Amino acid sequence: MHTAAQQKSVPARTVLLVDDNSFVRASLRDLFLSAGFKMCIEAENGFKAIELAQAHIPDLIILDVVMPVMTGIDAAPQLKALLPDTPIIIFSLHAAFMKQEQLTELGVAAAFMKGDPLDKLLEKANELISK
Amino acid sequence: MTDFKYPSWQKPYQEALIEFEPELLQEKIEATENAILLRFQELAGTNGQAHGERLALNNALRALRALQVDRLHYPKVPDEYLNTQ
Repeated sequence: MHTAAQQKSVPARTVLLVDDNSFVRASLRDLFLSAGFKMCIEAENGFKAIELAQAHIPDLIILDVVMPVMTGIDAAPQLKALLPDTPIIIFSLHAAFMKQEQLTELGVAAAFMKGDPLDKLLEKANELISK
Repeated sequence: MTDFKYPSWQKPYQEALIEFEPELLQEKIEATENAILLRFQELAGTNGQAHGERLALNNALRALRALQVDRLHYPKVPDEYLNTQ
C-alpha cells in the first residue's frame, strides 16, 4: 500500500492554486506557467483543494486563508497529512499577521502577503520544491 | 455623492457594503479585494509611510471578512490567525 505521496514517480512541476478570487488564481497561473511549471490545478476552497490534491499529487500548494466551504487554516493540516512532502505556501491578504509557530503547527512552509512582490513568492516556491 | 479619501479601493468597498444579493456581493468583494491588493502593492514601496491608509485598508479587510461570514456563509477563521487589532 502506497501513500499518495509515494505514488508520485515523475517529477512534474505541478502547482495547486487555492483561492476563491479568480483574478488572484489567474495571476498566479500566469506566474507559475511562465516560470516553467507544467500544470496549474485550481480550487476555489479548501475542500475542493483536498479532492484535487488527492487526484493530482501536486509538487506545490499555494493556499489562501479566507475561503468559502473550508478555510485555508482548516485545509492546510489535511493537505499536509495527505501529501507530507509537498510544500504549502500561504498566500493571503492576512499573511502578515500569522506567526511562525502557527504556520509550523499548520504544516505550512512559508507565508506571503498578496501585496508582496510575486518574484519573491516564486523564488521561495522554487527553493522549497528543490529541497 | 460621496467623496472618498482613497477612491481607488474605497469606492468598490462601499459598493460591496451595500450589496445584499449574494452573487453580486461575491463579485463586489472580489473587486474590492483586487483594488486593496493593488493598493498594498503600490504602498509596498513607500517604506512605512501612509500609516493611516494602511490602517484603513486593514479595517476594510476585517469588514469584508465579516460580510463573507454573515452574508455569504463563509466559515469563520479563528481570530488568532488574523489581524484583530
